[in-house]
Amino acid sequence: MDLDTDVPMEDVEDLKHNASESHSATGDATPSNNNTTNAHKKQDLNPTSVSQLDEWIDKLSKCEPLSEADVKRLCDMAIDVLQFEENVQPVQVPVTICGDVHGQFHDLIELFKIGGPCPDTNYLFMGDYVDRGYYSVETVSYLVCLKVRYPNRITILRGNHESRQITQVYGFYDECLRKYGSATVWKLFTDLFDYFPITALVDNKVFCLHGGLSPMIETIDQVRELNRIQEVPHEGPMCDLLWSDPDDRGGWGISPRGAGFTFGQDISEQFNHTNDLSLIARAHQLVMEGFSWSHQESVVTIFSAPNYCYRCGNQAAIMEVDEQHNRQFLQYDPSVRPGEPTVTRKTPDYFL
Amino acid sequence: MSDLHKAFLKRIKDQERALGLSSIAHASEEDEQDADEVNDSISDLSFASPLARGKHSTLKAPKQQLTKPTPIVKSSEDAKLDDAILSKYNSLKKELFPISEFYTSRPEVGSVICFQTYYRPPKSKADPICICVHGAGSSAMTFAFLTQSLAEVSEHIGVFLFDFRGHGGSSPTKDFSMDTLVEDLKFILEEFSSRHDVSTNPIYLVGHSLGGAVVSCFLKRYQDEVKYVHIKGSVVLDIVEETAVKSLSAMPDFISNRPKSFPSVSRAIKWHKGFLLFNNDSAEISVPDLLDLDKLTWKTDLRLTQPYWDTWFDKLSENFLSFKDPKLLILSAHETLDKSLMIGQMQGKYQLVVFSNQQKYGHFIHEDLPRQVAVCLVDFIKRNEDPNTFMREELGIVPKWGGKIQNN
Repeated sequence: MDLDTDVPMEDVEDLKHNASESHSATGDATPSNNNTTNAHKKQDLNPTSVSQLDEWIDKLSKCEPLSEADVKRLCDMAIDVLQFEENVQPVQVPVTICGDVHGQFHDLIELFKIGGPCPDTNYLFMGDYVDRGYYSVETVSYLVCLKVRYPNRITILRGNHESRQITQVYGFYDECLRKYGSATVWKLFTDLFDYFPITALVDNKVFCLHGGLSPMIETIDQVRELNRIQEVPHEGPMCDLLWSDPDDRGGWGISPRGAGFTFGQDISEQFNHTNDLSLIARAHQLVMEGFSWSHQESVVTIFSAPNYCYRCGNQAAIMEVDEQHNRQFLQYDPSVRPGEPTVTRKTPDYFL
Repeated sequence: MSDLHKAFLKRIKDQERALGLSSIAHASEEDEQDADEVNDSISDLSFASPLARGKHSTLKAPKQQLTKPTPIVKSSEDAKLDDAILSKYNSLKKELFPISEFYTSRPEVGSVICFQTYYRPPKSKADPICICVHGAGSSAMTFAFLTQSLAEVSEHIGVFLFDFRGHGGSSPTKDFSMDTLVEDLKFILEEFSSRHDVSTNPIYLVGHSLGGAVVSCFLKRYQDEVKYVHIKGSVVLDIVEETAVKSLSAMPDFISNRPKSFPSVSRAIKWHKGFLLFNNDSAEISVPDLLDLDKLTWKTDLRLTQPYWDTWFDKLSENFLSFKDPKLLILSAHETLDKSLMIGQMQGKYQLVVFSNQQKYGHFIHEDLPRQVAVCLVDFIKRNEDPNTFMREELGIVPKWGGKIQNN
């Protein structure tokens, strides 16, 4: 397939220069989507939106959150883009594949330094942008801005933390309350998460998703049949894709997590064979080196939050896949940054 | 003292004022201690770990003037309330637990200790049994409402409870070291399996707070040796090593500031409500079990436990994670995992459930939300016991490929 995904972006750039001349909201911007497998046509960015997005990206890159009204505008724009993406979003090589980020904004900036800035480098993120780190709001706002600004340059999948239920427990909800004084922003983002694609297919060879395989999904076509625009369910195929883990045991196993399954090497090999894949790339599990092979290199785990939750002491990694499908891992340590805000962990009243 | 602790102590004080209580120590405490010494043989202390002594500041002796306690004279209203509470307490105990036995431990070294146990047998020899282990200063009856909820969620399930030494209906003691508590659990499990035919029942150990630490330490030490019962899973309720260790510094104040006695059982229940317990029905069963009902004083002198605090939570996270079979950690309010638990959770080593964004519960999560905790436990057990049936019947899922789902 033609790899010339630069073209539409250049068109957008051109339009930006004419922004002052054209204020038409629907403006006749050129198509921004040259993806022939996508039957739908994405809504095009008008010049006002482009300059607005650039302004937001600039603000967010300094770790300053957007206003609630801007988050609303951003989420509306993002829905227009994401609703037309597929359950199995096609992605071209070269691409850099990333795992969990979890609100570690400064480490995300480090990631872009290591991997190259967006849109110069194509990115595929495999979910878990929010929770646990201190900057979930800035992290997810930034990635969504990049997605809307450069829709063909960055793909953002859904992780199990992009869910209403999980974010109420692991920090994103509380952070929104703290930073905005209400749950409105949390509501906007969690509503948006429903539109995130759940898997991606890199050049028809590398199947990317947050968690792992499902005993209900034997072929990639079966993923295409799912209705993904919903809260992450507690069970069933969509839940499994976001929750499952590879395991040393063969076959399917119950997951110690209480959601999803474990799958053995036989399962991975059969899935790759059935679907003519070379690799399953996934995130979801903390791996101390930032990446880890399993099942004789039929599955790779990528984790992109260094020193996870500011305490786990792990390295982070991203995986570059070039035009010839060569893979290279780039590992990195936590970014140097001014002290983290001290979030006092409440000690309980009574603990005997 | 942190602001949080100050605020907490103030809340206790306010609560006491509202209830007309006083935390001024009574002279009788000294007498009670003497009595305990007589009950306890000295050799009992030989169980104590050498680590058990000292990092924490010892509790200050009560400074207040010592006055003889006035004999308990309940107001007629209180007396009426107490009669109703105690009759409910006694009948529910009998109803929930058809078998109530004392297990007597006669160690070669150490003193004889009687343990109060309660057993609600499972429906069949294939049905699971939850053995629930309470925390410090608590008692078996903290699990009464959880037992009731478990029975409602799954009528087949069995529940076995016991009071630790120095708690509830068991013998008093001064030895609260981790080693002793772990050996007690071992003894009780052996005795339980010899008295009741449970060799084919899957056993799930459920520990709350210190009880969770005892369960985890027991499994770490003996998981390969336990042959008399078939332990299939470990469940820990609201205890995390790092948080527990941090919180210990506030405990001496908590203990010395709580009332030494109450004018009535109903006042004792009121004192617990709103900061320790939030479920009135459960408090009416669990609180009477904490009190000497004649003197209305605490059965457990928590000050005696302080020398052992160092041993209680040491390596809790490591112990919990080292158990090879299914594990479930249930936390109340906020997720406060320490490093080991965080890594374990992020690697998918155990199931974590956090009850959050509700106001009406606290550390005694199984008392405050018995139904929710029971549902969690039953799902956890069913999923592990027979994953294919669970998936098919509870979730409507039949694997399309790759064969059956295996359990551990």
